[in-house]
Amino acid sequence: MEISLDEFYRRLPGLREFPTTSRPSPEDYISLYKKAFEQADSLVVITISAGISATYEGAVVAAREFPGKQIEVIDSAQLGVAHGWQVVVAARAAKARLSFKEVVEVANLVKERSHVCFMADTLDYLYKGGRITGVAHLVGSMLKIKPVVAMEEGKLKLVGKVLARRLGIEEIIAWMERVLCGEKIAEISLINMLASELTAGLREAISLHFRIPREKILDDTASVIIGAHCGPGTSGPNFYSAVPGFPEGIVKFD
Amino acid sequence: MSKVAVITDSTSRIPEKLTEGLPIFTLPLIVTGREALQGRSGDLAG
Repeated sequence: MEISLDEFYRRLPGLREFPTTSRPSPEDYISLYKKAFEQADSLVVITISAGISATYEGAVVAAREFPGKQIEVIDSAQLGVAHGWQVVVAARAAKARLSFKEVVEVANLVKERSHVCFMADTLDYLYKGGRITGVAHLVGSMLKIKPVVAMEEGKLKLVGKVLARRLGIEEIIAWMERVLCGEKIAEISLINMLASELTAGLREAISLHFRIPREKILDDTASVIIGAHCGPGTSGPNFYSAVPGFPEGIVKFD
Repeated sequence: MSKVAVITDSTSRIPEKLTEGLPIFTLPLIVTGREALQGRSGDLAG
């Protein structure tokens, strides 16, 4: 059965069972590696964070079936588009005919600079996903607290709790400042999980604060994992910072 | 032919225009849940 992401988010509030992801098997990876080797000499595999999925292990196990072939498996330590940016930039490097070693280096540089942070409308989904205790959920729900969650060290972490959307936007901007460590944002997208108003507020605030034209802030629809843990009404930025000395054309940077 | 290809398990959340023409091969994650989400769908990749 296949459903759209919007439909998935609409169904979430009524689900009694917490949805989970099932990792691709090593056999799935072996099959894909074979297909890719028909078109390439070497492979750079970038998986969703090993801290939240066993996918990385499957990719590593599968790589052992190709002795003598160049396969580098990288744990992105991220999810959603924060993971996706690493893939896109590495693929741009590959398309530009950089060497295997250089593509791996580019992927790791972007990995170190990729981030995602988001605010949810309620604590309910973090509780269902086992990310907060029942007491924290009870107290937080009474106060109508909105959680701010980020991927840090490969795992989803609660980095803030706010009482109003405006405060959440300020919290996210402050978090972005912290992780950027003075570097400029290279590319950015905003999760919009049935959260048009919050997304618009974030776009405005990020555009003003970091001096990025609004049209350069792309839209994305969030990953299922973010969706399952935070529920409808969630929004936040996926971005990476510019890498000094990147080959021209590999990274879009204004 | 690209000398290097990139493999991943979830690019479906990346705006499509960014991945066009790039040497990316994708394996979707599968979302499972009794009430809804069985089956393999690129649209539901992590």
